[in-house]
Amino acid sequence: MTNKKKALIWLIILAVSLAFIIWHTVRWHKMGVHAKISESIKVGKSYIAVIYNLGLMAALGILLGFFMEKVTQVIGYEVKEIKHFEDEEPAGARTGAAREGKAR
Amino acid sequence: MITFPGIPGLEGVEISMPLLAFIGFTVGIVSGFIGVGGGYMLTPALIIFGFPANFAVGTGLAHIFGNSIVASLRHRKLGNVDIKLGGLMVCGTIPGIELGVRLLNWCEEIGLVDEMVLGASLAILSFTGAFIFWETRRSKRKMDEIIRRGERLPKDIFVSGISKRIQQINIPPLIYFPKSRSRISLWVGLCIGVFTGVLVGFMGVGGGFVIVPCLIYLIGVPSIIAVGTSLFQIIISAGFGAARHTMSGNVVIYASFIMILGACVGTQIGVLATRLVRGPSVRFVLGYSMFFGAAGIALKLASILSAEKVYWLNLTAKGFIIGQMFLLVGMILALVIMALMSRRGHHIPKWAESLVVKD
Repeated sequence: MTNKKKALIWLIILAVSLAFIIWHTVRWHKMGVHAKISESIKVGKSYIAVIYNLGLMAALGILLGFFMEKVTQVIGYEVKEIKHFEDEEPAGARTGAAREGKAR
Repeated sequence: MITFPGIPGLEGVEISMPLLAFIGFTVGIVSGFIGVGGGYMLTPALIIFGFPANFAVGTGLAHIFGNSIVASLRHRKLGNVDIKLGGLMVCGTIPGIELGVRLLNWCEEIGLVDEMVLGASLAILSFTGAFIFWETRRSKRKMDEIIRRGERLPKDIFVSGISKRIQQINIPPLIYFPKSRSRISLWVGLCIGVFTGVLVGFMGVGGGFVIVPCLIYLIGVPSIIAVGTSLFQIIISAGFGAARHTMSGNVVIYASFIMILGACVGTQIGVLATRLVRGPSVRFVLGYSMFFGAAGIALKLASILSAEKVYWLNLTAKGFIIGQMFLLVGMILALVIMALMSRRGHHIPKWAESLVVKD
């Protein structure tokens, strides 16, 4: 299976996961569940709000981050490492050296 | 328009959903490019569009937490994240955030939270922005000279000697960071971390607009590694700050959710643009963003201090905050376009040659 096909499969999985999270968040907002979670802070259960808020944003961040990565892979845009120092080897050269058994 | 029924303190607050997503998108581009969370644009924007200051701070931090994860994942792919250095600074940031949040809650109790948050933002943005402008103009002149001599341009160059002096502070233990090729005392890293933490907790920012200049000028990290490392650090600092603000009831998670949907696209554009530019480009955009942020905040602060009697001040502040987002995005996209034109052999202005990477 080519890298592009693998990326496409991952893209679909991530898209479905994101769609679920988006549906869940909109639904809970409309049902007033988010407001109830905010109220739980007043009764000493702030851990519920912390876990939910951070968990939601972390899940979105990770899923969206990987989703966008797979999008660029599927459209064929190659993302190479940046060479920050003049004496740095490009990523391809390191791979080549490792293949030839010259890596330390 | 969306409302937040049932959340005390937000009765009557209405905000447009596309506006929230657009704020996220533009802040995402800038955030991915210059390594800031974007809170110093986000917090005043949310205040200007009707959020009480404490909610603006907490909601902004929750958004910055999520968006920094998106940006860091991409920066890591590009080799821009020094995890060891970021980890050291985080150890100082976390206690700093606790101090900052307590300070903010105290300001809210005495009824001066808007003035204090905006005033502190104004002072720090003005000073840091002015220094960055001064240093980057000198660096660019040096790069222009290199071009005139026909020599190969480095990816980054900066003229401030502060980092060399800081690296000479030999209070053990000294730690070497191979990714950034810099060595500093553990205590220096922790002190910078505590300072940024206080700003995070108090101002509702990720701390990036202080972290990036500190990494570049105090520790001597190349600008684009400073961008990626800053965003990595902001995950931890903004996450801790968002947790702390959630416990104070200051986070509107639905607003953060909408903003990150816009930000995820903008962040990719901003991060990938760092492949096409040199260090001074990042610092110029950082300096401009601070200048515009300070000007917008000054207008809003003047409006608050005049007890909102001068209507045009508030209106001008709103226009400025929105306008600066467009301008910064325009600057970044202009740099990207010039870099792509240069790579295809087209002519670009002479002043831009030292700002973009041709190959």
